[in-house]
Amino acid sequence: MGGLLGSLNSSLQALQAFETALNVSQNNVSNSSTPGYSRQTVQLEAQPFDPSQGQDGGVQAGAVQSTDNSYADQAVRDQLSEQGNYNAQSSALGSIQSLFDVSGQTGVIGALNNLFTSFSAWSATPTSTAAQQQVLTSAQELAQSFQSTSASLSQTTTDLNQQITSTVQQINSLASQIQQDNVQIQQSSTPNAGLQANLQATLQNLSQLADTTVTFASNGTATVLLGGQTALVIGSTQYAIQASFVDPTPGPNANAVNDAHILNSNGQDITSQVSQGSLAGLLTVRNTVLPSLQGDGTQTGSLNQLAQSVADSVNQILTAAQTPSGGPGIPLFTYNSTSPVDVAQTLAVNPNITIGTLAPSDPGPPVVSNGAALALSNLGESTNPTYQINGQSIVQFAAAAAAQVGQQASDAQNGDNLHTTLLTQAQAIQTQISGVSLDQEAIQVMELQKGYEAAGKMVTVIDSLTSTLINMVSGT
Amino acid sequence: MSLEDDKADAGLAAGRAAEAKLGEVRQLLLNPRAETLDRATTDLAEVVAALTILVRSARQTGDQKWTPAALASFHGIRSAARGLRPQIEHASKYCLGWIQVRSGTGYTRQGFPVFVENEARSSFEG
Repeated sequence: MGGLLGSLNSSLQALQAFETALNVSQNNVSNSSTPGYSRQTVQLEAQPFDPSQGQDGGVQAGAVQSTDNSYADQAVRDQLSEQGNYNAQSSALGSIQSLFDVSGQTGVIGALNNLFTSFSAWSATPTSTAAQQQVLTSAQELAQSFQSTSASLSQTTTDLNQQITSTVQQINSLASQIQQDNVQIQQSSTPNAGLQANLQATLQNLSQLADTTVTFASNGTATVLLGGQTALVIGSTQYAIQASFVDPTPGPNANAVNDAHILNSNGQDITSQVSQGSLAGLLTVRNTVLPSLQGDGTQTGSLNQLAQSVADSVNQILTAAQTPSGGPGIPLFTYNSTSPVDVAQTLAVNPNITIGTLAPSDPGPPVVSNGAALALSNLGESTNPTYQINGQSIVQFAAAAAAQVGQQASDAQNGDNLHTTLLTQAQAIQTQISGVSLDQEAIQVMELQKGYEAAGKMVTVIDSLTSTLINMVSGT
Repeated sequence: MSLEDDKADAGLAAGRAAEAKLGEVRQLLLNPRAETLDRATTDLAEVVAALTILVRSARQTGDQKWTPAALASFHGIRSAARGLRPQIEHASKYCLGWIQVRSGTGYTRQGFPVFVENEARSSFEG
């Protein structure tokens, strides 16, 4: 196609090519605020020029290419998953932490301290009605504190069950959106920037809930795997997951709260595959932290251990003691001994005990009028293995349990803060690089890498120098 | 005020200035541009220089003592530096990974990297 007609045709192709480029630019501007949208570029392809063969040169618009970068997208999704995990843990642990006051002013530890203080006052004045009444009042408060803490943990369990169920529903809903996007992508003959943007935004939302691995087929459809193993979406097929709160093999402890389980579309347990995202954070608190406190099918839980140890130790001392009138002592506490996980929630003051049946004396011989009360006042710090829990005194054990919850909450908060920073950073780098040519991108990323590497070396030196300063001198 | 007090005060002032600089660096690192990273590195180099002077001074006098406030400040600097480490390591690895991916032939239309498959090579010695 030579001559004038060929030239006109070549010009027409060029006009069409530039029109396509303009459309793409306009699309970029229109979508500049669309979540997940990646800048599109049009490739202008030179056409062969050989008039003798009817090839008139010029340019033609090639395929529209997205500048989005799966590496950067996955890095952002990874940070979203990590942040989701720690954020969910931090929120859930916050409510549990408030139940275990490390300062010993409130909660079970506060009530325990008050009981030991009342024992101490009673040992000083064993026949004082006020001191005896204070012992009964403090015992009542301690029992109520164990019951209310146990009830709060049960309520937290219920809340977490609802959150886990809701999160699983959200995951399935987002997976359904991805599946629908995939269907549209399959049906679309040309790349659809809006659809791709929608898909990216949905993938980011999903990654906050669970750790997902995303791969794209050659036709542009996304395959989404949970934990790198369980399929959520493959092409036009969605595989729904579900939450279950039934232990397939119940443990020996009767009345125990079951763990939470995540099942794949075939009903197989895939809980262990969920390691990031808010679902993982909820599962960690639900299946690890809460059972360590309230017990489950296989463990007693520190709250029940503490309640049982306090009750058994106090009762043992009192039943071996005698009242001022020489009568036998009776137990101060009762609890349901059917299952070790029921102790805290059923701990109560013996309804038959009165001021008159509180036994302060060690029958000896020789009889010590305040011997039992004195033993009770020292019970919290006792080094007698009979009155210890796992080699720790009652007070040490209670403090350690509270400190552990506090440490877990602190770790979760720190993890949340760190991954929020890393997410911001990953998104900033992605934004900084997005929309530049591949060559510019390579240069910019290399510059950034060098900058971070240099900063890293400096930080190592600062760490070393401050350690030297701290170690080489003593404070005045 | 004794000479030792002066030195202790100098330690505290240097420590607090360094802590403030590390706080600025944390923000600079969140703005990934070559110039901001240069500024972060310069700030870090200033912290290194200030700490080096303190260490040298302490070594020369031999019996340098810091006030508890100065010591607390040094702990604060170390803690801030250790806090920056994961942020810097993550960013550095992130960029390295990006470069490795970029070392391929580019991206597919879906934004996936296309790697170069090198042919097998042989070498002969002798």
